[in-house]
Amino acid sequence: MIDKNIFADPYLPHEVFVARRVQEAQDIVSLYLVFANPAANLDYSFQPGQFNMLYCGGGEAPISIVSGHGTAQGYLHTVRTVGEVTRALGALKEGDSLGLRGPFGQGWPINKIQGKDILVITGGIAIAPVVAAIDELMRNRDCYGRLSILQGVTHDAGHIFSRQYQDWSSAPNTEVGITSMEAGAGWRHHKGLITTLVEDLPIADIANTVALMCGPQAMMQATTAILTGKGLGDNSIYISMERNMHCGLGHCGHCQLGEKFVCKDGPVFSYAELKQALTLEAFA
Amino acid sequence: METQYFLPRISLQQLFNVLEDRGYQCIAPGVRGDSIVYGPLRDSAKLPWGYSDKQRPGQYQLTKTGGDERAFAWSNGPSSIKPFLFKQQEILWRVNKAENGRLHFQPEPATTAQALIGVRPCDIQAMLVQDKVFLNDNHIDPRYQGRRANLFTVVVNCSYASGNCFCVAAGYGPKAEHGFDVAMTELHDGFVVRAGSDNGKSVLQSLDLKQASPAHVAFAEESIMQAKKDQQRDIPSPENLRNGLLAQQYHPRWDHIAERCTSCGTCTQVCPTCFCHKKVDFPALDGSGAEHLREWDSCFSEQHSYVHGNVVNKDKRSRYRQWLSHKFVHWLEQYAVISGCVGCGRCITWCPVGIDVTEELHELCSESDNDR
Ligand SMILES: Cc1cc2nc3c(=O)[nH]c(=O)nc-3n(C[C@H](O)[C@H](O)[C@H](O)COP(=O)(O)OP(=O)(O)OC[C@H]3O[C@@H](n4cnc5c(N)ncnc54)[C@H](O)[C@@H]3O)c2cc1C
Ligand code: SF4
Ligand code: SF4
Ligand code: FES
Repeated sequence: MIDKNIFADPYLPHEVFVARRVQEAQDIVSLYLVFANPAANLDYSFQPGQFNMLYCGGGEAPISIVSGHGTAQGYLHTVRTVGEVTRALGALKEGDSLGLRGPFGQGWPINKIQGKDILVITGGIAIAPVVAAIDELMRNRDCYGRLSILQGVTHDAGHIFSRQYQDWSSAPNTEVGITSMEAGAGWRHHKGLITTLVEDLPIADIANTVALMCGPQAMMQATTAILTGKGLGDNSIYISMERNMHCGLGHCGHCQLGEKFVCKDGPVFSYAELKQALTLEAFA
Repeated sequence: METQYFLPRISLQQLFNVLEDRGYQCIAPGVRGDSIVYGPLRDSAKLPWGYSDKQRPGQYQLTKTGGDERAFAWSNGPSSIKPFLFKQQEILWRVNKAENGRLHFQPEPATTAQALIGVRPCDIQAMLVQDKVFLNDNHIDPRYQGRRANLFTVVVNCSYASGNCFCVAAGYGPKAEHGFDVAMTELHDGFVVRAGSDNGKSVLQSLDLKQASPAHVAFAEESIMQAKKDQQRDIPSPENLRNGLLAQQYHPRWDHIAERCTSCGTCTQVCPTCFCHKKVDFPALDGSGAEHLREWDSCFSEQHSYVHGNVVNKDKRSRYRQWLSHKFVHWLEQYAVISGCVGCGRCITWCPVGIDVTEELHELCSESDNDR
């Protein structure tokens, strides 16, 4: 049996290994992580939309959990290398050791949206926190209505997980739309902004539709404006927020957004919950 | 009502001795440099006997009481008791890297038993507020918890309030009602004391004290009344604070504040409830591992709200708004306490440009005041 005490200090990372490493794009790396303690590997579980704090090379970074089921395959984290910690994560090789604590936060409202038509709208690396949600919807495909998966990237090279997108597009009652601002000759998808894709999307039953969104804040705000314009309620739009995070525990104060701590009350919120705080923040 | 005893002034040292015998490190106020601060103290003669303070926005002055030789005739100094529970800097864990690359994470425990003697009621309240942060339902910080569990507090009710104190308006002071082990009120010849916990009771028992006379008790209450009467400052009601701070985003006063505030973060450093911190990693030079630390941080810094390529709170205006609205509005929803401010007045005293929160709150919330 696992010693529960190893989870007692929420500040203390657990040692994990890179079981597999995949270079998804020039600046995007997938790491399949396995706990050094086999019992912890089995005991660990997460909800779609939750994240871990990964410790590597001089600091920690909040990184979403893409998938994983306590097997030897490991828990998948997909990282875009932008700064100190993420670059160190990107430089890890198979077999290397790093630290992990989590899972943290409140994920997507998977149960609450049963029976609904679902729009999944993401930008760039922000596909990472919704993959686990899409997987969950796919596992119980009958419990949900129409599923539209829209992803926007800046360059075609930033389009990752193309196998998954292909699988999803062949699932029943599911459509996939991918767009890139800049693309080379071989690009088979849309060109332009994700907002155009959202604008052009026919929504059959707006009263029975919900949106799950993650991406740069400006993109989410523009998309929210379009969706509310189409008649989607503030309570039917869920967004996963990004803020500076040092603890993941509601202790360090960095992730505050109005009265919310993004790390423990989020990162997923309904737009209704955040509307006022977002307006206030924009006052600068 | 808990029995009240009388501790003669000459017996104060015994309290230190008893606590030391029980394994506590005694921490008490003393004059250090130009102010009164807390630190390890074994000799009650080194308390700030005969000292008081004068505080105005941006000003602190240590004064001699002259004639009145009490030890706690001052209001408060720049440091609260916060650093003894939530350390300004501390190691959370160490990581060792073995030759084969394996990482070994080792937590840094916190075990010292501390007795804080001469705590002000506002600081006890601030500690109860911080308990809600570090001992919240979901996540407990074991280091804070360890120190808290091994803590003994002797609060001294205030008999004097500085020009910047507003604990009455904040709803907390100047008399401690709970959250302490022993409470004392200072008189000219000694202290009226009472226990606030079983541990406090047991310590008082070993001091073998006489019950306080009705006259002593009456004097004590009167002196607390004085600290109440001393207070001139007021803050708007929670409802007006909410309306003023959250609805008046274009109030010109925000710009007026931004013109004066230097973004130095001193207000957040002296505040007994501010809990923001950052984590820093100090790698060993030989690559054999690292120390992972937690350090106080301030919402006035640019890095505080940094997300790659973007700073959420970009200017002083938005950072001051974050601080003020968190402290006086959001805290209520986050922790179900009256507010994140206990009215100690430190942020007013120690602000280098003398920005006075109570004045700013009135200015920002005045229109909504008039509306009703
Ligand atoms: C809930 C959540 C989930 C995330 N999931 C992923 C993911 O699955 N894949 C991925 O690639 N990225 C993800 N991010 C973003 C990732 O955490 C940042 O890119 C990373 O923290 C940057 O750290 P750095 O040291 O490499 O960058 P630097 O620019 O060197 O960062 C310095 C410090 O700033 C802070 N910081 C900087 N950018 C961010 C940021 N975007 N979010 C939070 N703190 C930041 C951190 O405290 C960091 O220590 C997520 C962020 C959040 C909040
Ligand atoms: S906000 Fe100012 S007056 Fe209130 S508790 Fe903090 S330092 Fe004291
Ligand atoms: S102490 Fe005064 S100048 Fe410094 S950040 Fe606070 S309000 Fe601004
Ligand atoms: S990340 Fe520390 S409070 Fe949210």
